[in-house]
Amino acid sequence: MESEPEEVHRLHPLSLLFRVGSSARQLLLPAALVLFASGRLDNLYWVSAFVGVGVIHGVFHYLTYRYRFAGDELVVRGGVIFRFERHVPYARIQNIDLRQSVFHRLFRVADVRVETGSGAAAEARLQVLSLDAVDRMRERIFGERDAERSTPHEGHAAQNAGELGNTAPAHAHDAATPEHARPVASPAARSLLRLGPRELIAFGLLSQRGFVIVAAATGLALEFDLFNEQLLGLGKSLESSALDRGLGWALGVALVLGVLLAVRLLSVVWAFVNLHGFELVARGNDLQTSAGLLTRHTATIPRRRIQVVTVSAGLLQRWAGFVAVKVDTAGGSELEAQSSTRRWVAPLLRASQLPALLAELLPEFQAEALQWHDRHARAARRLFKRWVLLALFATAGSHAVFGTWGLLALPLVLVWGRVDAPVRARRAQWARGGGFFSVRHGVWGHRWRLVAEDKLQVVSVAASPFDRRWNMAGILTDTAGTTFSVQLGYLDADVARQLADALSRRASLSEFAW
Amino acid sequence: MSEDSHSPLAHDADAFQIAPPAPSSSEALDPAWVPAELVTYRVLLVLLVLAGAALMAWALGFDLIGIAAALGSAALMYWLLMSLVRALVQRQFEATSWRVDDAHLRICKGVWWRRELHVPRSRIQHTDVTQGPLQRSYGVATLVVHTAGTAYSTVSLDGLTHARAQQLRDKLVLENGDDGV
Repeated sequence: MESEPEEVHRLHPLSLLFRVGSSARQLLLPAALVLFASGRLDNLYWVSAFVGVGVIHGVFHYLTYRYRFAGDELVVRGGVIFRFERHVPYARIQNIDLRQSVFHRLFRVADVRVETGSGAAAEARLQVLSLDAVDRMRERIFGERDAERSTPHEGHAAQNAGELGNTAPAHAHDAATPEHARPVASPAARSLLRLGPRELIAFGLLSQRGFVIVAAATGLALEFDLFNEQLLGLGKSLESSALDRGLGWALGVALVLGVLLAVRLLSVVWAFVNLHGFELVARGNDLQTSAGLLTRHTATIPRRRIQVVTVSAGLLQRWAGFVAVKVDTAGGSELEAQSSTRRWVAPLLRASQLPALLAELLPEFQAEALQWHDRHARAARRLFKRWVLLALFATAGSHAVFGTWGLLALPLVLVWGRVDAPVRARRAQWARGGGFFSVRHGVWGHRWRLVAEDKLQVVSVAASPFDRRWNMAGILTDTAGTTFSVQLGYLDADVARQLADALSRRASLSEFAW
Repeated sequence: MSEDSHSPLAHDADAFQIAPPAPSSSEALDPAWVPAELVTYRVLLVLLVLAGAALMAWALGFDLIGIAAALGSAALMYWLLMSLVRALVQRQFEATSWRVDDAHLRICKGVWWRRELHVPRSRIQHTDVTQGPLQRSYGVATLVVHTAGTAYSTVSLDGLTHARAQQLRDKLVLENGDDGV
């Protein structure tokens, strides 16, 4: 019976609750506003009428929503007045995205989104399914799909599994993983990377994320004139009490240190909220990441749908010997792609473990095959010219603010630019080899992008009038990935043109498969 | 330093040459594209210049001299701006070329900011030929190529003859075969 293809499934009965919950949450703020603004309690009727509509809608949604696994596609059906039926072929499914808030986890259910490469919204949203149903769905969808394609790199990948795993050994996985993150048993799941509390603290300390929060707090303080009243008052009282300047300086330094410390602390807090229990798991042809303290988010990344891999390291991370690895896949809405937690396959990875992870992500990739090339010989000079422009603007600004002393900005920025430009020019390189195109750049923080030439969609060469003066051009490669394009400016124009032609020819030889 | 020893003028002449020596197999746009493009600018310019003339006549007073001066300067402005636009469109026309070979569709365009797009043929998802009423009266059409890319999910080539555009569309789609998506 269980193998019968036409078996129709419903959502989890708790769907009703979560559906009403989410519509109530959307109504809560307007409702509160209405009640407060009017100050009249009889408006409560209106609010409850709206909630009632939400409830009725939820009931009908639950009663009418059905899904079934037919042959090689997922069929979703529903709707009360306007009925819909959507067929999603397994072969097109990019991602089964799981979101679990605290309440979802309490009831062992999940909000499921089935995504294809179509870009806009999820192809099917199943709100909510029990975790067992999700497992069956995964097994069904990915099982059918993987059966169509053999898995030639399985052995190669497995061999790397032991080398990875930041803290926990791979086999400790079964015992330690909580129920909600349990991957499907069918193809053996291997834990590639897990971030424990120590790694999260390290991540927070090395990242600059807290700056965003501090900046927001500063903006808020400015908004409410806290600075004017408190800080200026403080300054005046210091002045009037005729204390020496030393104390003023000490206070200033303490303030700066305090802000820096707050940034680090907030970064750590951010890391704990968003990346708690981060785990990267390989299962057959798919990679799966899950993370989050309160709302847990599980994403599946089919390995062959990885478009661009980005390896980056900020200055602090570089000094500490860490890198971060992100991937871009086709599909998924742009909004979701911007949430960085989703794209991370390794928020924090020892640089020495990078080759093993890359072998997992891109089994065909060989770092030795890449042949690195420099930019145009004049790139450093053009970069320095940008610094000269910046120096002129900065000096004009600082002169207006600080008077004669402000003119000091000119030599300072120029000297800085003179040092920075050659390094920036030298650090930026491009490479081809082994079927991959790659670009790396950055002076303080480093960034390295990798794209399989099979995944290229359009290759563009662009030259501004300034470029053409020195026969330079920039190259940009476009993929189906949602955010990054692999690009590099200030190349020799002939080189850029030949490169574009070669990349495009190489791409045309292969059939593109999402 | 060795680069600086070249005459900078030679470089400039090279750099600001408008139409690069295109390979012989590249095709230019249909010449009818230029007048088709100019019609739009013409209408816009007439409206703009008339509005300016009305403003000027209002400022000078609606007497014979005021109106005559306004219309005269409007005509002069129209002539000046139109010759500028005509030169620009002509340059755009000269700067645009395209070719299709066994591997890809290549489009070059842009007068100051030059761009060269390479679209591998196996990456073309589908193609459209569109033709507005204005374009139709001039017999030109726009070929729109759709890819699965992000920044270049659509690449359009404006100014082909309608027949050429359709021919190209059929060629790109039919010989493309199954893309295995």
